[in-house]
Amino acid sequence: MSQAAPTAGGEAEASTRPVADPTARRTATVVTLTGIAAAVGIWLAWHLEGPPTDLVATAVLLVMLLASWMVRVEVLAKVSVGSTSIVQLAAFVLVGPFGAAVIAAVAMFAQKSRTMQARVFNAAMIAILGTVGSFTYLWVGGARDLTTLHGAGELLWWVGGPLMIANIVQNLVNLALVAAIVWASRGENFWRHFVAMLTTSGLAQTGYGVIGFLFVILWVPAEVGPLSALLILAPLFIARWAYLQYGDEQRAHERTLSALVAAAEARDQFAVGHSQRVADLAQQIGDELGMGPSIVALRYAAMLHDIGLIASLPGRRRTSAATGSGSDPLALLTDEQAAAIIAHPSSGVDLLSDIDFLQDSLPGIRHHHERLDGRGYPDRLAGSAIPLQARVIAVADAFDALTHDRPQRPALGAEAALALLIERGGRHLDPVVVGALARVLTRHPWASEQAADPAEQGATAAPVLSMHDDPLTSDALAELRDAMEAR
Amino acid sequence: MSQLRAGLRSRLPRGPGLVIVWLASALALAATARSLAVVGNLRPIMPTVAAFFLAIAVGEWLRFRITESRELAPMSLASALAFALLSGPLTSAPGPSGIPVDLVRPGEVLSVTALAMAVGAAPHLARRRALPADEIAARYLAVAAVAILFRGIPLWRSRTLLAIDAGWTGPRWPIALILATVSGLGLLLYLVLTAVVIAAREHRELRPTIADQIRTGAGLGLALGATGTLVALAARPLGVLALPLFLIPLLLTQFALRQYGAIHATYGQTVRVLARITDAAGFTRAGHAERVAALAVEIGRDLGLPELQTRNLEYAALLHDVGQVSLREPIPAGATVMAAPADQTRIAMNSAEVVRKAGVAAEVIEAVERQAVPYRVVREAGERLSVLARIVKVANAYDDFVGGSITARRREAAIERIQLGLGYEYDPRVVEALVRVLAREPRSGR
Repeated sequence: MSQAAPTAGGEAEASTRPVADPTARRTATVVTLTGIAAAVGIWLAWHLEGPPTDLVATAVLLVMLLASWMVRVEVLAKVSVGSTSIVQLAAFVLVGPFGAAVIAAVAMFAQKSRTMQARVFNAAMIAILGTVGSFTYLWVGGARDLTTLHGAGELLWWVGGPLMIANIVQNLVNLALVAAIVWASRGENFWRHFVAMLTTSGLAQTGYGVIGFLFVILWVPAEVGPLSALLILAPLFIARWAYLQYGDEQRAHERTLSALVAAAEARDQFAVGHSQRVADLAQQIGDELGMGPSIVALRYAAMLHDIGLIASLPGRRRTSAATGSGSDPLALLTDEQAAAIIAHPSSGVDLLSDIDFLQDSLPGIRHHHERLDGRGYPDRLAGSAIPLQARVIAVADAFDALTHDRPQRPALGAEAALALLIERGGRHLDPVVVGALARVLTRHPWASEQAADPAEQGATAAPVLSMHDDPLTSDALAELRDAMEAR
Repeated sequence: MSQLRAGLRSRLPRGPGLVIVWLASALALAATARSLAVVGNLRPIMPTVAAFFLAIAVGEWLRFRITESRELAPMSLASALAFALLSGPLTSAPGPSGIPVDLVRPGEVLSVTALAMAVGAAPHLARRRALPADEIAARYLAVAAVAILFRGIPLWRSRTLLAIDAGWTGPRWPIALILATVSGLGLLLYLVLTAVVIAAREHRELRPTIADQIRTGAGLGLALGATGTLVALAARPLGVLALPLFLIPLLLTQFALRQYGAIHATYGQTVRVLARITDAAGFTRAGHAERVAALAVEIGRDLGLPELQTRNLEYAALLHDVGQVSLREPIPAGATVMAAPADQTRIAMNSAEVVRKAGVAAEVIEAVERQAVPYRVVREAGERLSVLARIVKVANAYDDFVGGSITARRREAAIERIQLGLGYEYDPRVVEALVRVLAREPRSGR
């Protein structure tokens, strides 16, 4: 019904494909029972309260319900703001139980769903909500005739309060019905689903209650009548429009970020896809470590951790690196290349320092090559002085590098790579993070990739870019720096 | 304090924007001076006045940036509109009798609104944030117009709209229409005034800017007008409680717009970084993309492009060389204008490839892809070439020819070289705009 979020779930998924026999039978039973309950409710409403007296209101509300999909807004991931709730609440007061149930059912049945079963269920459900909510309003003392009320106090007490109670009751029934159909059709736990929907949509529902109340006040006591519909919907319509724009802009931004990463990786075939994989893996490790909301910053940091490479090996000074497959990475690195690699974390931070939303991700980018033993770069941080974000990226980065082909060696299997990282725990990498990675890997299988034709990959512009994230390179660089300082 | 004053002075707008600020200030001062004498009369309705004062001040305090050049304060404007349109029983006493509507004359609305806006702006001033005085003044004048139109001018048989409203019996939907119309006119004035401010600030032509403002601002204007009308209508049965309750739906809109503004700014920053990677990788001269973008935007505004198209033009100019990053060997100084036509086309294609992945508007992709196309295809082959592509071509050529030099001779030489290709390589209209833009102010680094 009314509810945006829960209904969306109900509308879309309820019913639907009869996969296995028991689910199909269960679903059919729930739909039938809901239909019977709706019919009984409508009959009771007719019997006890009769048809609505205000036909204009009935017609206007019906049109609003039919058009309600136009004003549905996704506020957060799963919470949307629709006008359905608002209109239905107004219907409790303006057209009574029978009217509220019938117009809602008609409007809902007219909306397209994937299957007939879903349409019947949704129409029956919203009819039940209409009768239940409407009767609740009357039973707790809601006023039938608002013209006799005067002043804010009376309106709040005899209309506002009862509407709020009716709103809560019909919401609970709504969530229960949706949870029931989801249980029947997809076998999800009833209570868990019920509580999840309650927590995500609770606040929005309270908001509808208030707007529904305002709608009624405007219609009767403020004597504006049907024109209230337009006035009350205008701000909601604009809110929807603004959210759509926001969504478009956000998607465009995500794509621009990916393009930024892709452009940086474009010069090295070994690196293609690396950033995205490290971002995914770092996020899973962060989840495992319970990093909470800071995971967003971690994800961006992981995605952009190597962006500085683009500046570290300038095009005009590029040297053609060796592409042979020696086992000692140090032999492949010239001093200039080593210096460039050591500079890349801070180059990345320089490049990104103007982007406000990445401020929390910069430490992770700057320190993703630090080592626990303090021999990393660029700042030689040690132990817990290295931000957790950077320690997570270091592990994800090394693991992805090991499990993919690099100029100096073919890909390792996931188990061999993990063993190598465990062995480096405490010295190079944080053992706690490596432990989290091990737990992640038991749940998500990892595909290590070896190219079909390694020779083809030799023709890459700057293979040194992708050599740097190998753990052995980290050792080599540490030794190189020690040696340079000793000199 | 002197710092504060200096800050204020440097932020003061010039030209028409300044006129609007002076007009608003004069109106506010005059209204406040007159209202001081009658402030005692307001005592019976003090709670109502205080509530509106608070809503306007908080709304002004919560103003936010929606694009680089625009700020919005929807709650402030809607509350002030509602205050200007108020007619209900302003005391919470029941019954329609004894409505002290006359207590709130236009002067009172103007002075209370002015004070509230000043109070709401104070925290921003204290933190030395930029204060767009001209935009605040535009808001204020719109409210003033509504208050005077509704409460001050006897429009019908020597009665004001307020008197008609107060004496109305029966269904009130005609009153709702009147209120909506008056607030609609006020918001139209607001959009026109902001267009004047923006046109003056950004050297745009006034007419297209007004059309632009009305097109982009109509949605929010509708929400604001509706909210102002709703509060004024519902204040009759609900009293002052109508104000906070009806601001709830608007709060939702404000939340959405704020998020939009935030992501809009973020998007712009990310595009800039993407544009900078060719610099970072040493393929282009430092700051080339940003200089071309700044120049292209000024040319675009001079040619009267609408705001959305100007933004697309900026993105296209920022990203026009991004494809150079996949070149094997950089071209000299990254100057595409010196490269062979085939190379220019290839770089344009490479750039378009990257830009296509970046999810920007189709218009941007097209402009990047066709930035190297000479203007003669339009004349000779009758092909369509978007104005964005033509502007990017000219701006890019100018920056490449100037080559980072700041001497006047070098700049003149660059223009001469472009004029050699007039009509053949370059669109004459765009080149004329370039010359106008360059003549407007001596620019360093160009």
